Amino acid sequence: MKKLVSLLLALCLLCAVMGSAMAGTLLDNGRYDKLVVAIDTDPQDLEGDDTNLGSRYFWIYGVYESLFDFADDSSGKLMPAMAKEYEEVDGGKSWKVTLNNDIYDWDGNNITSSDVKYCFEWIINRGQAMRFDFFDSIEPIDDYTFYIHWKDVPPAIAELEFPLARTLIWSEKAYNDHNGMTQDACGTGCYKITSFVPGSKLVMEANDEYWGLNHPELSKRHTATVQTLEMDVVAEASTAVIGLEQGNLDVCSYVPLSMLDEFQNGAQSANYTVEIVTQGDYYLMAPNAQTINEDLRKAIFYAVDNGVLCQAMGGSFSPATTIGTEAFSDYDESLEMTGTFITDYDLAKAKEYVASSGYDGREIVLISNNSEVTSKACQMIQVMLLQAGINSKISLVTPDVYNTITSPQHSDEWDVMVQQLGGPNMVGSWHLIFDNEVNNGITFSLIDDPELQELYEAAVADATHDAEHMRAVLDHDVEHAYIYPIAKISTGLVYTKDIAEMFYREGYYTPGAATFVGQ
Amino acid sequence: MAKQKGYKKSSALGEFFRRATKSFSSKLGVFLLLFIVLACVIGPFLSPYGVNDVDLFNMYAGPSKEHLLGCDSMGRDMLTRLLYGGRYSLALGICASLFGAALGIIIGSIGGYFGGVTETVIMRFMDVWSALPGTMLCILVSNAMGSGFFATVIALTVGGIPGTVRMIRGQILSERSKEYIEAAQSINCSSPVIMFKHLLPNVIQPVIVTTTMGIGSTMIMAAGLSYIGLGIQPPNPEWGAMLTEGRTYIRTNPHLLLVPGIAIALTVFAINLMGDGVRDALDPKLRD
Amino acid sequence: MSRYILKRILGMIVILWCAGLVIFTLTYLVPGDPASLLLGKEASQETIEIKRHVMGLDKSFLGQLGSYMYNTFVRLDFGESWVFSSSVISELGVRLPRTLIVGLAAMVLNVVFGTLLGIFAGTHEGRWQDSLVMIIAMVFVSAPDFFVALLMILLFSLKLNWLPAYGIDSWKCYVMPILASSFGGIAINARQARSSMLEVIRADFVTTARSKGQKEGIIVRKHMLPNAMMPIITGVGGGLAGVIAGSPVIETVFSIPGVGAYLLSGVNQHDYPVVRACVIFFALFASIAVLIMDLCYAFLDPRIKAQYSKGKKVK
Repeated sequence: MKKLVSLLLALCLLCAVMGSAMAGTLLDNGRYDKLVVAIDTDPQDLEGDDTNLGSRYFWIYGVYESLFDFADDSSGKLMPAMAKEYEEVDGGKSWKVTLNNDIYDWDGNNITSSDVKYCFEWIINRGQAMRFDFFDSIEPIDDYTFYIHWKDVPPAIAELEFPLARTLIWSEKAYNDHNGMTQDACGTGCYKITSFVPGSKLVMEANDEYWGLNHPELSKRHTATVQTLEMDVVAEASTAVIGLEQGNLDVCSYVPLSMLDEFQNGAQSANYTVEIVTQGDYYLMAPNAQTINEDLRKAIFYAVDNGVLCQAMGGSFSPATTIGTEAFSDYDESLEMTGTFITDYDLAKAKEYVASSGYDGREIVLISNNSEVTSKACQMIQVMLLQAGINSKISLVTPDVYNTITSPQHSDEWDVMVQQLGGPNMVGSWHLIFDNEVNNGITFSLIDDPELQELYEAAVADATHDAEHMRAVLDHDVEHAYIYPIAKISTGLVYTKDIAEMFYREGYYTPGAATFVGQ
Repeated sequence: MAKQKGYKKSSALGEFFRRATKSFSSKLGVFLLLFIVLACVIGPFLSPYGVNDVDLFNMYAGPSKEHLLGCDSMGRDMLTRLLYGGRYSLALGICASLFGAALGIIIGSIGGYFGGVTETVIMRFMDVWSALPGTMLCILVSNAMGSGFFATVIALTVGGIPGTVRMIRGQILSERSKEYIEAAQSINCSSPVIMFKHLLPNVIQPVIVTTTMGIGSTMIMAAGLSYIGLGIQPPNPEWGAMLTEGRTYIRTNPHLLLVPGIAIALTVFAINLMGDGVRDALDPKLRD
Repeated sequence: MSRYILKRILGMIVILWCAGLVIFTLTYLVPGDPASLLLGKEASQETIEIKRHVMGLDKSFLGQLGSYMYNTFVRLDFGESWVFSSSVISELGVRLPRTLIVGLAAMVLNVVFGTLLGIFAGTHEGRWQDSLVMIIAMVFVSAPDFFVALLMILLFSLKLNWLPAYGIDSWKCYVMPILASSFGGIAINARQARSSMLEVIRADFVTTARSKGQKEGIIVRKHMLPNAMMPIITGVGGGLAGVIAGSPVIETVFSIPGVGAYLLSGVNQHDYPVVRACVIFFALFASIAVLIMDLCYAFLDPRIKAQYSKGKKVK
């Protein structure tokens, strides 16, 4: 009898567990029924163009696709997407690419080589072809094969990121049929857009006729795990938090760290999972190499404590420990710069260097964009520099003035710049700060150092793009005190407990491909 | 009313002040405003904290004995910043209103006095000007000129000029055919002398009223401008900018939002009370 | 009458045309090259040149002005946004209703409650009812609308959880924006209506009516109200333009994708086709408001009517 009761109890328990797991949210086809995601910027148009990325990465790769994807494992290798494979010809100066022959968009248009050619020319003619330095032209061979001609043999696949993985391909006919696809899209992706209200929301449904359903080799980001995916535009983080609390939102990626407590430990912790997401963007301080000598640079770097700085900058920052963040695919633990001025604050050393630098007490100019974050950072830096005996003044300017003043012609108008930086990977982000091609033979912060250039080029080249060569650049940076990384940007990703595992790709999360409880 | 006889010998200005502060509400307004202005001018000198003194142990601190109004996100003393920022806000409101009034008076007087083509050109130009709503112009000019103090003053000024010009010109129209102007012309007074010495004192009263009332709405506009990311920017502790910084913490630390918001409302309240008094004092209909 | 209306409409078109000229010049003079701002520091010179051509920035000032004026006022084509490639006019079409819902509803509240409160205060001059209404009005005039809006979010969304803090999904979303943008107007209208009432109360015909022994209610309705209406209409017309023009701030607070928010995003992103179209649109709206107001005057004010019919006789 006892056994029977306990068996019955166990059965009930099992049913209850299964019942709660199935609690009306998973559909028969295995998809989660509806997920509402907060986005902080208005999509405004639905064009297949990825340069105004903003919050578009949440949805645009579900709607449109590119020739290749970067592998899910963050190794920086290419994997097939619309293109099945490629083969280098002419010593790597051209690629012969084979397209999958079964790609159809929502209208039923087959995607062919001429569409690829059209999309590349479209983006170039619109002046939106960012980082197409190596791209020359597309030459169709037949419907499903074509050549990509490069201007030069590309040194690294990372350099080809924009043409290969960021240029979206769609049908020329659909483009004309849908009035340029600004308000009415037609893509090939695993989600179909069903309604779009500019400034308010974007609703997508899983695409049951998706061509990629027959292609298991594709990245997981091309799977639709949600039936109805809704993107609500909520510009202010504090408003989005209210939305989460009221249950109107399921996912929000820009909850400031200062507001996370409630979701981690407070009343909402039963409903939401919290992840701290470090982004591939970081803040740094770059002294003008022409006006600030090496000793003074070191003085500045030792005087600044980026731990304190981050506290002042706000709830979303943690101190940087290397020039980059762990969100980058080429990040390695051996790149951590412990024991240097990046991690160690040393006022005594700073004062020593001030003395040896011959600093005459002039006010050095801290320049930055007039954003709230950089302005706070500058104020804090000013206070810290004063402790080391360095006088400074803050100049906060609008982005256009900033771009003008930080060009080499105005080298005497600023001394230290504070700015945000990002890139496809860690060495990619270094392009602006270490590559002297930025200003024809001199870097962004006016460093003229052939040795640095050599080290940088070695770190970028595919064959030698490894931790050892990257470390060499970093060591050189520390030796000569060129760049000081301030902060990594971390925000709280808060999502409903119904999501068992969030899907990440290149540091970006993709809610439409997440794994849900019970799936 | 019986007391009034005792004031008969007082000067015109004294008479004005007596009238302007006759009612309780306008007295309240004047005292409140005087208090706020004095606090903003003197306060920061008395404060033990600097405006930009960062104190990391007191970030987001609520009101306490040490920090009467608490601290902001960088641990800066709110009261000190409030008083210091009041200088910006008041100066913005006053400068923009006065500057706008002065420009409006000059253009309006020229148009109204000379008449003819000059007047037509000026008034048509004002038609176009006023077709662009004041808030829009303010946003656009602020965007074009940047975030400095003077740029913001100009931005806040542009919207109100056509109104002042129209008002002055309308007054002059009814005034310019009167005998005293004819008399002045007949003794060969120069145009500027007639315009500014004889005509202006007789037409300026409504402008004084609108300018006084305008200081308050200009301060609100300045705060709104900061709120949408233009005008005076943080770290300058202008009240609108402080309010903007505070809105991020609306949930966790509402005092960061309430303190500057109430400061703006209270100051504008005082200015408006005073403005009502000024209006009553200058209104001939209300003269006993 | 139709001749008067026609004349006013022609005048309005000329004014809009000049406004276009002014706004183009104003945005042209903003420092910085929009193309390189748009593409950022990493864009190559070649890409920037193409972008400048696409945006029409490679032409001279007069060339750009000419094609802008031609496209805007002859072809009625406001162009495409520079940042996003949606057509500005269709975007305006989508956003306009949202701004109008908030603006017009607030306007109605302004007029109805403002006038009623003003009359109430005016007819109780000097008593506590008058003081109470005027103090409340003074407080509302003095508080910045976006501050009131934030306080409302704090109370109704955060503490009470009655109303959503953002969005346009349901009618509930519009409650707070409408209230927040109407408080100031209610207060201004109340003050205006009260002072008109006071003027009328002291007028001779009211004294006459009173001395005849007319009932107080009839005096208010028949004699005072019609005469106090004129300044109130002025207030309404001005307020209408003001409510629509004030939308950027309120729309920012409540994340309403209306015309005001569109203008702001244009300003922030140096997207001048958007800025220009929004401003022309606001100018058009303000002109129409003024026109309607003037027509109301012409209908209501016997003096203006007389002037008009005199002109007809001369002809």
